[in-house]
Amino acid sequence: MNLLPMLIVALMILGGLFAFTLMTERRIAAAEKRLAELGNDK
Amino acid sequence: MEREMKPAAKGALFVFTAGCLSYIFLKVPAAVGFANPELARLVTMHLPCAYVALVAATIAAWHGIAYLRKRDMASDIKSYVGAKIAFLYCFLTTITGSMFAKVQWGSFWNWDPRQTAVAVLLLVYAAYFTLRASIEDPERRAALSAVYVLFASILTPMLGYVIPTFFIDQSLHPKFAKFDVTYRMAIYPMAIALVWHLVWMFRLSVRAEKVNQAIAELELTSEGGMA
Repeated sequence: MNLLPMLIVALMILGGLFAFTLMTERRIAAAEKRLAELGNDK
Repeated sequence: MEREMKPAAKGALFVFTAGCLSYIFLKVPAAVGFANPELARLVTMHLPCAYVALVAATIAAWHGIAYLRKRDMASDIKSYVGAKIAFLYCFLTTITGSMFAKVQWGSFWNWDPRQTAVAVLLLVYAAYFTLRASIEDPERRAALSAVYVLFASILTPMLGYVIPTFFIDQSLHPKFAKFDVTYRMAIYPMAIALVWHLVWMFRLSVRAEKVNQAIAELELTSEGGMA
């Protein structure tokens, strides 16, 4: 199918954006936990 | 703290984006007159990325001005995050543009004025990140970055649109592209979906920067206490 390259590009861009944002959400949750631990240690 | 996007809003964004994508693949017709009419649909991804780069550059400039007026470090973080997203979308514009160039004009890179201008823009943003990384004093870094980001944000529409359209005659890009209604119905909703995503990414990245800074400060003070 001639549209396959475009489908791959579109899915890579949009999927990449969603995946990156969801991963950032997880990283923030972990960083906020670490911040709370550091605050408690202090 | 930045407000978090609600799960329902994230779900709605996902459904809306999937709807935009479905419209592109199911309803947008092949564009007659192109070397590869089927893949002319790539503009429905390429143009929204360019619009979002412009929106992100405007956000970066807005917060840069806010920093210069109030000297508030939160504005510096927002300006920095805006510039990072502008860089990301300039990069995505270049990637989708290169794909389009390969299938329609025969080569990924043609040294077309607009392609070259966006490459320069990427270098301008890269210089901004280098500038930030090279200054240790936070207030000096924030002030210089705010001034530089204003310069970069003015260059974004100038290099991306104004100069190649009004000052350079020979280009593979059309000067004033006219799209039929099916293409416009694909381009504008996709731009809305990407701006919606930008809002989510912007809030999250600002939160991440603030948390990372707070951790760095805490670690620094605890190291100072131990020494």
